[in-house]
Amino acid sequence: MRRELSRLTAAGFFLMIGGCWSAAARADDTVAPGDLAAIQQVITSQEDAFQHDDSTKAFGYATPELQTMFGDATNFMSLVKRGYQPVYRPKSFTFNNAHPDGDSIVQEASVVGPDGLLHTAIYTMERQPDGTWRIAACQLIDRPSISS
Amino acid sequence: MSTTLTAAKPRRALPPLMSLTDAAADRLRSLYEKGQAGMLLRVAVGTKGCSGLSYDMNWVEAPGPGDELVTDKGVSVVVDRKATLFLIGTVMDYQVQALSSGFTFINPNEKGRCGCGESFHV
Repeated sequence: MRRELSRLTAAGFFLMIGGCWSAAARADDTVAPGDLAAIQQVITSQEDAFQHDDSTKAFGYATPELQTMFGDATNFMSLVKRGYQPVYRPKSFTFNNAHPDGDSIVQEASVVGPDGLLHTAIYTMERQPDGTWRIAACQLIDRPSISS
Repeated sequence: MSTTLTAAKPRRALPPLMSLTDAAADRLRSLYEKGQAGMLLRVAVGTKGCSGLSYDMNWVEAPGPGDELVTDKGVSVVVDRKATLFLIGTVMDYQVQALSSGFTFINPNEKGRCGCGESFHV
């Protein structure tokens, strides 16, 4: 009887450890719904600012580090127009996967550019001391993706 | 919005993030085969110097999370994801001069450089 109880206790212990491990693994590669909504709102707001050529507003969604590197909103907008046309003037914009990357969150999006071609935009989002999220990087990758 | 997996439309490639001159590719290939075997050159843009921004280069064993791997003329260079917007269209060169030799960057996004050439701004 005692041996049976001991076996059950051990089984319960391993189940509990396994459960914790599973939860930890999920926590490692999923983004909390609140954070996901917040980062997608920031990206959507910047897209909206691009559509209205509101450089000051669009620049405001970049991290302070990026803002320092660009110097001002005019420089920022100038580089976006020159090198990021698919993000600056997308025909369509669809969020795909998001995953944590250390303290950051990486959000992918399928973007159809003004020329009708499909690209993947990869945003790196960083949480600020005040709890808000800002865009730390945006990579534009030329590769097959999902079309809506 | 529903998404469906469809064949990608015929696409023209985006402008290259970065390309290498023959001199830069030859020099890197030589370094990868000898002194820096097993390593990759990583390029980032940092904030320093009198003009604001500078090209930072270091050797890494593998691309970090989110880094981009640029391959041109059969040679690969790692690019920091935070540097991509500043580097689009940049040509990396290798210049041999009387007193110094090294990798240089011809960056169409640059608006100016400081007098000593150590830093640039966009």
